[in-house]
Amino acid sequence: MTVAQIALFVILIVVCWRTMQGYVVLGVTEGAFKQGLLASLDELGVAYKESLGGLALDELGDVLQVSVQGWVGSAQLKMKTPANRGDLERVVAVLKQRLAEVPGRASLFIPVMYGVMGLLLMAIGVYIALDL
Amino acid sequence: MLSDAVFNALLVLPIGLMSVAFLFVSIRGLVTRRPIAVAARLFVWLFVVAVASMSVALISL
Repeated sequence: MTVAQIALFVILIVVCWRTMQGYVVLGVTEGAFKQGLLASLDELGVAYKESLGGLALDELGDVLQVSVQGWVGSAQLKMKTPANRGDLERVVAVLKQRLAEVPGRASLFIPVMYGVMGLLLMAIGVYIALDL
Repeated sequence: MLSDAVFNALLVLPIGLMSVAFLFVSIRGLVTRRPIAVAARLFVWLFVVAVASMSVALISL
């Protein structure tokens, strides 16, 4: 039984490691994210072509894979080729500035839900720590 | 077999860590009304710490 539990935990970590690559943007609306990302690429002078699942960056010979969940206010960015991680970091650095320029356009779904989850977890932690 | 204190600590550690992370994102988002961009690997490490800590505690039962 113990071996099965350890194997399950290892598999969960491997799946999480494979899934969570690149950068995650939390509390963003679909419109603000798209506008910010395209403006960032324009500012960096990177030519792009919109394609299914991402932006084709012909100069780099790579695809900036984009996943947006507008209904919850999150997005994920990653380069198809891991070796181009440096280019992704340049894009994200500019994107952060773009997103910070216009406050009040954030989606509040994640901040509110994370707040509730954080408070509940804190209550559970205190409950366990005090051995109630 | 772990003592109750160690067992509780192994459970409280990841819970506290996740609680602080959730509250940080929440308060920052609500106060600044700005999105936050973070490396996705941060979530993985948070998950690894939580899983490792809880698994040691649960397997010791």
